[in-house]
Amino acid sequence: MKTALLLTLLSLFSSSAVWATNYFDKEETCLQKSDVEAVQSHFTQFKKFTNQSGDKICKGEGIDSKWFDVLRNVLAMQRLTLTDQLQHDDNDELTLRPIPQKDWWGYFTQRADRFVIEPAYCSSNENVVAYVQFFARGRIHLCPKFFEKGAADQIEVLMHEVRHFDGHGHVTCTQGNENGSRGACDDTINSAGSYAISVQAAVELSYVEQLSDEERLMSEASAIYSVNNKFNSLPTVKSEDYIYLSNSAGEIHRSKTDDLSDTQFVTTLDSPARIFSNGSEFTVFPFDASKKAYRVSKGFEFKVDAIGAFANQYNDENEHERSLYSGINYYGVGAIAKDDKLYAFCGQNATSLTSFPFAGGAIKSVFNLKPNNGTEETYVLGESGNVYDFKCDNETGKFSSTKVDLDFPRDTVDSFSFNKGLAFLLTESGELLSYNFGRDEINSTSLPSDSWLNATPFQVYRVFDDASAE
Amino acid sequence: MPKKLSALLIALAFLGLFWWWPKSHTTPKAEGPTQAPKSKPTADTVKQRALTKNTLEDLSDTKKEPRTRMRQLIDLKENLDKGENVEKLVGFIVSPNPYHSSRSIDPHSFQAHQHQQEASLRVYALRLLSENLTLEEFSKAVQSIVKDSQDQAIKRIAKQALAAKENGQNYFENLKQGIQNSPLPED
Repeated sequence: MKTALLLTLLSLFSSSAVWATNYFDKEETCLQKSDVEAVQSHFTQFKKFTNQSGDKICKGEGIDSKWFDVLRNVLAMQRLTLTDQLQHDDNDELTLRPIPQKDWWGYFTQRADRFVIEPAYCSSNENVVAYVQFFARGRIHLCPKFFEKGAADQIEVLMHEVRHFDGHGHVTCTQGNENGSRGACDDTINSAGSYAISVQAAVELSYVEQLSDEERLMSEASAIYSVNNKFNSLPTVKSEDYIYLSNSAGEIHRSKTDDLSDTQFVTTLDSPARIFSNGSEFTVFPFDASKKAYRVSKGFEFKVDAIGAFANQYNDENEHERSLYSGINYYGVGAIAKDDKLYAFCGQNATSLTSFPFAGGAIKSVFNLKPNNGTEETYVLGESGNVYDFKCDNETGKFSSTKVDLDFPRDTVDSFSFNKGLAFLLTESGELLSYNFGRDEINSTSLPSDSWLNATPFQVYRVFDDASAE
Repeated sequence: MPKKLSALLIALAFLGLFWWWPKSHTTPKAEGPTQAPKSKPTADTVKQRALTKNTLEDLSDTKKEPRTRMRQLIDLKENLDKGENVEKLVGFIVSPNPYHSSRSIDPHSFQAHQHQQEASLRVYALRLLSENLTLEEFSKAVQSIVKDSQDQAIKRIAKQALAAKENGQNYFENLKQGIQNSPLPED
């Protein structure tokens, strides 16, 4: 009996110790005091709140709701940057170190170190949310309306305001909805003024799991609206289309589709492998089946912890079973092929992979193409040389596959599309061909041959200033 | 009895150890997503909820919190039938932003913030249409939006979304990635 009670108490304490406060949640009523102490050397105003006893700082207990909101926001911003703490693996030649994708915390703390809550200016300007003064660097003034905003909006405002300390003011709009409005626009998005920072922050917030779906989607939509409303030079988004290739020496190269003859070296893996892009990262499947699959950042700088369901399934198998895996595709109806079976997610509530026996026999590869109608479709290439479409009905959770009339060379190992009507094919001899859907025509490309083992598409989107306003 | 109580307490102890597990923050991209994130299933299952006339009219009701109306849009995605509902969604997109003013709004004001939120709801509604209609259907929707909306930015987004869809692309995802690839200012 005593043992049971002790265990219960221990579990309660340990569960509270592992409770992670969600600083992105405005409903949080307490903060971890240690988290506030960690930032108070920079935000010295916070010291008055950590003087009290206990390991938590709770709203209404020695701190009013507005200061509580300020502390919460600061701690949320500290957690806005994604970093992966990695351990060095002696078996891996890749550099393993935590690299923040964007150092939001550094950006903010280099510009701000104190807050003024509801200064007199707010009373005579009731609609103002927040402001800074160029001559009072580091100080952010927060008006009552700031505290009415949602969590994501508050962070966006803070990130926006501190950019003004760098001398980035706004200009009069010369186009769009606010044409003629003073201070309602910036000239260009790539001048990285406060509106550009708002846009970047909003997109970052749209990925934060700790925010509700509603806040994330509002952030995302707000960013897209601002891109099209807040800049006198209207931005456009364009892609740079790369093909990443691996060769028999374990080297990774890449080439832009608009000049395939120019390949750039990216990195060398510790052993030859096939690489597959999912649009933001690469999953690496070594040819040596005794080695596990892993996932890396888009620049191959570091490994990431979450390697995805396909790689996890692969890694759970023994060496013999791994050798049976062939095609892998992360786009559209993503799937991983093993012998004559496909494994994929299908169905709105699917949380695990479903297997699908492929009528076309052993599978060579799985890929996404964009035929002339522009709709992206998933296809399966059998060892027989026949190509099948591969569809998932999300309503029923069922797969289907039908042979299609695509006459690819028998030695095709992989294929992909960037734009509609055109596909690239990699052959067993390491040659890259192009296929035109409209003309049903296959042509060589200028990619230099180098015993390429596999190829995967990677589109890098960039936002450009556009001089011509519509 | 004491033995049963002990067993219950031990079971509670183990439950407590695993109940609150720390979440990791900002998520890496999941396998192959190209669509807007799906809402989580709720107890009152979305599929069974009838899409009523009132739901769509509620979208314009500024007395309702924007977050609530965003939730309605998220739920609408699961029931986006063709025809009447699409027409009403287009109607919402082209409806005037109630916080639009013919006079300049202070860009740092709360009114500007409210204007932005209303516009954001319309942008998300537009995204729903672009991702759930066929090319032909979306093209018709965009024609209506370009003709009837007074919001230059919304019209521009609609046209770009259509151009991207014609090329098998998703404008919203592409733009997000482009912004993600933009660097923060150097210090």
